[in-house]
Amino acid sequence: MENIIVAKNVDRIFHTPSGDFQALKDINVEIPAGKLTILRGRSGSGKTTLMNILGALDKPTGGSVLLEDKDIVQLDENARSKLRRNDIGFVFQSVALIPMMTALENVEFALRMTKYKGDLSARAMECLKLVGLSQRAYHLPQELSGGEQQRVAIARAIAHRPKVLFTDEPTGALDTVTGLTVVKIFKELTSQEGVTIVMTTHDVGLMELGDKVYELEGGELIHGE
Amino acid sequence: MLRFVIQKMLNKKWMVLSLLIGNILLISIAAANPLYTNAVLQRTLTTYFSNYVAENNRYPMTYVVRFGGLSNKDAAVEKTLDHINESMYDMGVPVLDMVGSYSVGSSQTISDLDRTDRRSVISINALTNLNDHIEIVAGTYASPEKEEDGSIQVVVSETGLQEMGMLLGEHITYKTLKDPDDNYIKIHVVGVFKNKDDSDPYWVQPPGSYQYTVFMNEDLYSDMYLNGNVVKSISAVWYILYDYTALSVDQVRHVMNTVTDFNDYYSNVSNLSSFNYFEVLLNNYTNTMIKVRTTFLVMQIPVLILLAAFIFMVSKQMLDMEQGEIAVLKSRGASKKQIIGIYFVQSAVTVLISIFIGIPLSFLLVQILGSANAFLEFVSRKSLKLQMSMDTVLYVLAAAVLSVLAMVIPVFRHSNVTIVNHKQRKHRKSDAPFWQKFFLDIIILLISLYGLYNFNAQKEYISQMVLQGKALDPLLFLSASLFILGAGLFALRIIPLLSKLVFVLFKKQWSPALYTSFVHITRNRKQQGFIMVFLIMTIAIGVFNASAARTINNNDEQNLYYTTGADVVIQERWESNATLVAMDPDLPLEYREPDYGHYSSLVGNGADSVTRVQVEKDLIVNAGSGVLKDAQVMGINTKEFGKTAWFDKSLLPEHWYNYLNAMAQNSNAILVSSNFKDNYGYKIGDVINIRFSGESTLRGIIYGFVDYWPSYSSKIYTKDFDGLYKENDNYLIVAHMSTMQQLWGIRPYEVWIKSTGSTEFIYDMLDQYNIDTTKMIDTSAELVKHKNDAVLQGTNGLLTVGFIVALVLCTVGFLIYWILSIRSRELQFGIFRAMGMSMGEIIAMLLNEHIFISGTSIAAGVLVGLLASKLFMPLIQIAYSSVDYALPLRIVNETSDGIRLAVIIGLMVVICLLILAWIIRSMKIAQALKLGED
Repeated sequence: MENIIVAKNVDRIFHTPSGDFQALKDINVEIPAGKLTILRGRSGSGKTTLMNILGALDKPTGGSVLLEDKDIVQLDENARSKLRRNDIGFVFQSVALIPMMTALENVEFALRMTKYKGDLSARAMECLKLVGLSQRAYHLPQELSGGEQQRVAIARAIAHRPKVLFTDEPTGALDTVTGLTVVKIFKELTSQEGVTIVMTTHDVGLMELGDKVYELEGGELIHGE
Repeated sequence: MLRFVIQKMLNKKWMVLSLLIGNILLISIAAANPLYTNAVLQRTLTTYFSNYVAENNRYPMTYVVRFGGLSNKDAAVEKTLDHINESMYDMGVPVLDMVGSYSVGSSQTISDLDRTDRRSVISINALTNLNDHIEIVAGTYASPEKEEDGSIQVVVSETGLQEMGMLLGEHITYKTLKDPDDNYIKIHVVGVFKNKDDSDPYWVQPPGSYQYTVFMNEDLYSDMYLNGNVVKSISAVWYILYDYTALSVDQVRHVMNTVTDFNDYYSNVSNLSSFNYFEVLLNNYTNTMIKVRTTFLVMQIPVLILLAAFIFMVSKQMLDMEQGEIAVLKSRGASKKQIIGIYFVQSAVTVLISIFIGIPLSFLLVQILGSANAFLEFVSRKSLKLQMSMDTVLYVLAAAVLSVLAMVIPVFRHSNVTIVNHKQRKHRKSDAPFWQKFFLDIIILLISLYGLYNFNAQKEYISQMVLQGKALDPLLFLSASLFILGAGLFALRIIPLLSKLVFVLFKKQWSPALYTSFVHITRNRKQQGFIMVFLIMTIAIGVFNASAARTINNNDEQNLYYTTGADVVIQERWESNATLVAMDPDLPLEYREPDYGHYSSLVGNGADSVTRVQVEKDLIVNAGSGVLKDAQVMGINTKEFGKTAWFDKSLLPEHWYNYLNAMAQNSNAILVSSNFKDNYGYKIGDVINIRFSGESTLRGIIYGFVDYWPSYSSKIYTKDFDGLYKENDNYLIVAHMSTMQQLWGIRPYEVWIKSTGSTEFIYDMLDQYNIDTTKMIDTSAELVKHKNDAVLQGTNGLLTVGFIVALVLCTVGFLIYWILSIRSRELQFGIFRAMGMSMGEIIAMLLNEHIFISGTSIAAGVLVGLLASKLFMPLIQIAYSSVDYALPLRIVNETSDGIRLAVIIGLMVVICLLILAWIIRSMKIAQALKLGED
């Protein structure tokens, strides 16, 4: 199994007014390409911090992160923006759609960001269809339910065909059934579109769906398979 | 609760700060109005009196009581004096002095020195407390006793001594004047005096009027005339001198009432009469006072409304932010009353703090007002004397109540909301603001236009009222303010449609940053509406105020130059044989021309050019079949006149030099005012006969018609019997002065001077040759006088302060809007960052929004402001016009004002951007994402 991301000895220390706080301690993970990898842990275990670092949103205080053998830690801010724009997609727990844009526009917008050549609307619609939301394309986020919003967010995250899709607690705000639908969509994406997905969750029930699971506690990796 | 409220306020320091700024401005503006009005009125009052002193050379606040008749000790004089002494303090103004002047009489006299080089008719007077006000320069004071031979000792002033040709020690006997014992009065000149102090108001009569008077001791006078029971003929005048510098504005009404009481009393007692100089003065002043008060008040109304609206909107924004908290409180069982209570306490705390800061600030503000010379232009003037009065307290209280209302009223709606409503409302689309739903903008606009229409219809009546010294209808100013408000809101209705159109047209090509900005602009109107209203209003008020101030000042200035004709106009006193002619009407009237060389040599020494202008008003002008009254003939020297006179070339259809050149072709050529054409049907080439009675006739050939000419007004206003002003046509004929002189000889002319800069050299020249003038107008000096006029000065000050306040509000509003907008979008920025938007692009996006929102608002503001000044200035201008207003109104928009406005607004925008950049910089995306979790 080929690894698309390899993180070595990653440390992350937050300097807070009440002293330094070590959120991550000597983490080593490998993310296989085209698979669903799950980062598990309770809140405060450091899983979101780790994911932000893997997705080039945040920089580690120590260690390296190799994306396709290139160390993204060393990249400057602009290169990281470009990387995020073209190769990475994000889906957050808080749905984080742009409130003033319709579902379709939200997806289009991601394409616009990557200077997508081709018909923006057609590709956006295709992605919405993929998540089963084509009939809600012209609704504003606040007119959609939580699960629907999350699906729009997923459509948006995959529209530009990123190499890796990071999803932070995508089911956290959803009920079990809807959550399961969302994860099933992820599964389909990996198998059908070959997208690499990294997902964090605290839900034990979802773990068996992952191709690979890492478990964090107190900033340390306690289990990896 | 107080602690809770203070805690809450500290948590929202930005909003509270803006609320405070709004409140402080409101309070200080409210306090500044009465402070400033009173200070200006006080200054005007003092100026009224001191101008009177300068012009009439006598003390203005003098009440004069005359007694003429028979009296003895217990009778009228004593009684009158008692009454005066008792009642004179009723005026409420400090009495400087009460001077009694008793006249013994005046007649031919004989000197014991038997000489002829002396004046024979001498008056003899007694003044009370004379010795306290004089200084003996030779001899002694007059004794209170008669001399052994019955002579009365007298003193005489230095000028009197000279004028009467009197000698110290001289004995003089009256030929007809007798004392009560029926002896001819004999006087002995024992002393010569001068005033102790030149400006001593004690000398109630101008110095010249005592030049033929000698003064006896007042006690001796009393012994001889007032004491004892014998009835004697007495002529006495008492002058009550009030200290006008201590007269305050509030006292004016009381003083006028007291004067009326005095007048009533003295006119009803026999042998008594009274008069005073200041009643007329105060009457005029009262008119000015009303005008100033109304003008100042109405000019502040737009600013006060803007301030109240600002406070209302900021507190509403704050409430929107706190809606969650309110909803939670509500859900936990807090009553509506308690919630309103919290906000009431909060607003009370805010207002109290504002009062403490606002009142001292108002003092500063008033000094700024006082030094305004034009719009946003300041000069250093004597600072105003400020006094807190009851008015000030009332104004502050009213402002405080208004402010508390503005802050508490929105709570009523918000306090009804529970957490459930709150969540529901949060997910609803933002709907149109209430004023758009009810078409308030259009209604306001229509009202203001109706007002405009109405005022235009009664323009004649308004100008009649203004000419009579009445204040302009406040509603007129209000209409202008309403127009700005209505048009501003209307623009706000239009702008989103425009931006939507732009968005639809261009969205395909745009970069993500530009695209997002426009999505934000077109879909988030409610939040922007707040800042756009203020931007539009500020700019519109700024443009309107600038234009109004500039128009008023410029028109006033130009009119002054125009009506004067040149920088300086002088007419010397000409010597003539007029006295001889009066005795022998057959003699021709001859004038002796003063040395014109004094003036022509000024050219190059301070003067640009000089010319002679002969203005004749008593000529017989034949027009039509009869003789024209009110015709004025102006004799000029075309070339010099063109160089010297002040004239705006745009006043005539062609350059006025062309008229002068045409006239120069023929020595009989004349230019006449257009009313010759309009009223009598004259055409170019027609002849008008002009003559003095009994002199040869000038046959003037019409070479041109003019509507305007230096110093010429086409209408003359005269006050009719009914007190209304009547408009009469004024006819002008411009002829060659050389032709006039050939026909009628040399007659007095004016000298018009164009100066290169200061006019000081003219005064020097007049001094040097000791030239006596009958007319001397220095336009630059007049201009300073105009600028110091209370109404004009206050107008400039208030327009400036109004604009500054609007600007401060706008800056604060701008910051609030952007800070809120950025704070509420932190999550969004996080998403954008996560999606790979660079920081630069996010800033570009904000900049786009900024430029579009501010840009359209500024453009709309400028448009509304210009429109308002175009529509309303012709009417407002009337308030500043006077009977001598000759020029057509021109609305002035000076580029320098525009630049100043642009610089100030640009500065504000830049400052805001810097603050924003700083806020964005301090934002971290990863954290932003976390923060965003709702």
